[in-house]
Amino acid sequence: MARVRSVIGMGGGLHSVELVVDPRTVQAARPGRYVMLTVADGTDPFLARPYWVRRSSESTFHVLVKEVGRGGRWLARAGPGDAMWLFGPLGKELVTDPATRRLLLFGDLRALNLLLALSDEALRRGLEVAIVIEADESPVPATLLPAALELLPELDGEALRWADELYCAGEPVTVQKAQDVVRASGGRLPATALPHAPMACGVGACHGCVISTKRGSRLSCVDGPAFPLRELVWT
Amino acid sequence: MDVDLSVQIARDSDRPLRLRNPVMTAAGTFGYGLEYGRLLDLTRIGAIVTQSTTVEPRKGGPMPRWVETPSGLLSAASFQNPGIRRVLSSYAPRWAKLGTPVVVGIVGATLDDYVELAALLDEAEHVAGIELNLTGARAGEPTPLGGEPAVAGPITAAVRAATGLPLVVKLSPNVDNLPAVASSVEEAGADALSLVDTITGLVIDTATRRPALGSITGGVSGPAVRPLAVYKVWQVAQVVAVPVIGVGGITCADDALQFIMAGASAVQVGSSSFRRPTTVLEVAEGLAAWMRAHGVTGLDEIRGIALPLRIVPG
Repeated sequence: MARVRSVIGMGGGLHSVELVVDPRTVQAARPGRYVMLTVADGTDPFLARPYWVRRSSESTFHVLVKEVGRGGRWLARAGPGDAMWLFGPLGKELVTDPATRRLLLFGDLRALNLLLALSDEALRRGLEVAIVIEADESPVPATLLPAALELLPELDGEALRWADELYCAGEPVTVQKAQDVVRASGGRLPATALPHAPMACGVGACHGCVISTKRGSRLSCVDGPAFPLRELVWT
Repeated sequence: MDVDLSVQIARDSDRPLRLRNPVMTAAGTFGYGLEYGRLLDLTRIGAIVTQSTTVEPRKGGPMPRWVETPSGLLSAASFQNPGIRRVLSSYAPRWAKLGTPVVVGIVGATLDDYVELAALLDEAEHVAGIELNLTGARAGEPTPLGGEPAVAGPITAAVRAATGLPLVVKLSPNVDNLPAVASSVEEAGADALSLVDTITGLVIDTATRRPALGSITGGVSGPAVRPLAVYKVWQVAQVVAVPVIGVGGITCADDALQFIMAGASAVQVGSSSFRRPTTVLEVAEGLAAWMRAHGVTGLDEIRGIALPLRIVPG
């Protein structure tokens, strides 16, 4: 169970929801892991939804909610004290290459919390971190971004030449764009992708989160959610 | 007060299936048991019914495969599974450690498929039963395999001949005369019936002006279908003598009680496991709590209590 501590509108339909949870859950919420959240009262919206988590204290973490769809609207309009069913964290922790000193992050608003959680960890370890955010509707509020995080305007050859490693995440169109840019630059930069896939269960039972790769179909929840960027194919 | 939640399926079989409680998982919602094994204590549930499995591996339908609907979802994973041989080599050895019976779901495109699946499972270890899925569509036909007694009966009989395992036959609500189909599969040797599978549905995405699912139609499941599922159990329980297992939108013990009072001997928790994996445990525990609170020591006291009274000539 999780309880809402606060919901802060970020503009552009984006809301930062801070949840109070068991400290053991927070401790396990490493970058790259997600939780499944659903309404505690009633059965509508019915399904749980996956959210990337970003820790904010020993007993709280944030999820970023876009006010889209019935579940997103419910979460965005939740108030302090509201209860939600939560299970997880699920997925696998992301670990950058030990040799990486310059980490480049690229993604859209759906993946922003994931990228910021990665950024928090990388900055804590003394890495230089830069980010490119695909945000069509409105700029990302500066309050969300750590001061040490460099915000770049575009994912291009210059950004790739600067970086030792790339993580990209978000809608398939976003990840595909990253793949095109990396290929155009020679494809040598180590790159990991976390493409969004619709998850109904988060544990491999519903077979709803299929990702196409060169080695065949994979389930994002149990085989991913991270995949080598070069392995992804688009159908 | 002690309460007895135990249920026996295939009582007269050489290999009866005894469940510690009447709460099972539904095929297609719990994988092969291992997926949720690290989240739940599976020794607290009655049985696991696995994903329906085919002879050869199956890739499954096109994406998107599900869309949320009011109090439920529309889904079409189209029986994606690794094939029976991989299931028996990779999953079955680990079923022994789960501490709960595993009933393997099977689905085929031909009669020979069903017989081959049954024969392989009959020889396998750690398999407690078979759930024969007759809910899939036949190629080019709008009605499911289990849509007509003349098809459902012979398939059941052939599977019955191929295995001594407890045989549960899963039926679709998308048929004209479910009681007639139920009677035919009982006569053909089914030890129990599970009903109902999902209800055929369609969601159109008004933004794209196209069906929301890659396979166009899908099956509706979840609490929205529960009244129909309870009705079908209530109908079929009046015409068969074998145990009926109720499936459809169970989210809590009270939902399960509806099915039991309508005549079900056991129930299956399906899509609620996606929403809250602990649902199957909560239903089992909730049933026990209800029985204690109402002075009911065994489920036989309330099974079918909502069925019409039968006047037996004296």
